[in-house]
Amino acid sequence: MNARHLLAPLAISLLTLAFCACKPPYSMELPDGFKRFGRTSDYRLITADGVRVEAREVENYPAASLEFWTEALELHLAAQGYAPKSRRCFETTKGLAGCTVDVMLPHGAEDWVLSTTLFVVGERIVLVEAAAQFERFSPVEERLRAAIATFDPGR
Amino acid sequence: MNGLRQRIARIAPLPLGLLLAAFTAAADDPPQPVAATAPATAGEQATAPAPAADGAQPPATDRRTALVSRMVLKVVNPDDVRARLATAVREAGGFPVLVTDDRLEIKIPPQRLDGFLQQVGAAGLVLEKTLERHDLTLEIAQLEGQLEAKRAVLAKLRGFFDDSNVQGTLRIEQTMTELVTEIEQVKGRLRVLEDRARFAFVEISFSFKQRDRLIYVHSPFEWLNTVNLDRFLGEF
Repeated sequence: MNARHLLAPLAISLLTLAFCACKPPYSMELPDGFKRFGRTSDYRLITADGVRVEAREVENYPAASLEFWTEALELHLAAQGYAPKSRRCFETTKGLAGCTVDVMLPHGAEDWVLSTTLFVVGERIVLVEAAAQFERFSPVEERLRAAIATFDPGR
Repeated sequence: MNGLRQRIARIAPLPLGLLLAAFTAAADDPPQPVAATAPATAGEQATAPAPAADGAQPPATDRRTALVSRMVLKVVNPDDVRARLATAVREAGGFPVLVTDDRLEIKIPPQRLDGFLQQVGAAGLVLEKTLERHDLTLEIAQLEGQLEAKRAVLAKLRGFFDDSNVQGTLRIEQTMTELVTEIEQVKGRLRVLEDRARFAFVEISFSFKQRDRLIYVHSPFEWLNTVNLDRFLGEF
């Protein structure tokens, strides 16, 4: 067996690993009007008028429940001066519990909405964040909610 | 009152004793309840209720209060909402005071305020809402007392014309002119207060009024410090 025979499976494995690493673990139905955006390793969506959505994850440390983190998030945002808009807890179509905290804030001359949806998945907290000017966010809000209800944090 | 007394005392050559006695009597008169006296002119309608006979505070229902409500309302289409609210205000007996792209100020009868605020709340997302109540009863009563006292002095001064010479008459006229000016000023302040009590004031902003309301607060939970709009937009 020569080196070529040894390297071929290794290369395939590495390529597979690289491909898996590039692909974000998250998935959800693409809401109407949104397009995938950015590098393939990111999970980012955007509309033509700039409503942005991104999924990312952080460590669930100290390990706590969805309710704990939702309350902590609300309190932290309120302490910074964000105006509470709404809080909505729900279950995804796959039965995963999530909570969406929407706040508003002045940004430049405009008023913006910052929407943060939390899913606690074992040692991870998966965040789906969205932001846009209020006037642009409102028309897509329901579509976005419906899409987030199909969110799958993967792994 | 002392200043006025000194001005009167300088009026010569009227019998000083008589003048001072008359003025002192007028100045020392306790303020009469406005409701119990006839208004001097048609525009001076007494609107305040008569105070209780024993000097106690008037009942809460008789108190004169100014209501001021301020709201930040987010709506998708401010033009439509502004037009609808302006119509609702007129139907409720009020009127818009200021209409701009991002603000609506209205005056409305206090008894219709609650219903109107509910309409405003249903029109969009209420981000901030304050309701202030200022008790104007004491201030109005004090001004009414001042007004009555000044009118009484004015009426007494008129009686001194018959006994005075030219120089004295001129001085009485000057004092009366000053008194009339003061009376008009008090009446003006009263009108403003009466207007504040008659109409509640509502200010509706369609965007945040305070643009720099965000402050940095560090959370012991590190990931929470990454949840903010600047980071989100910067990394997107």
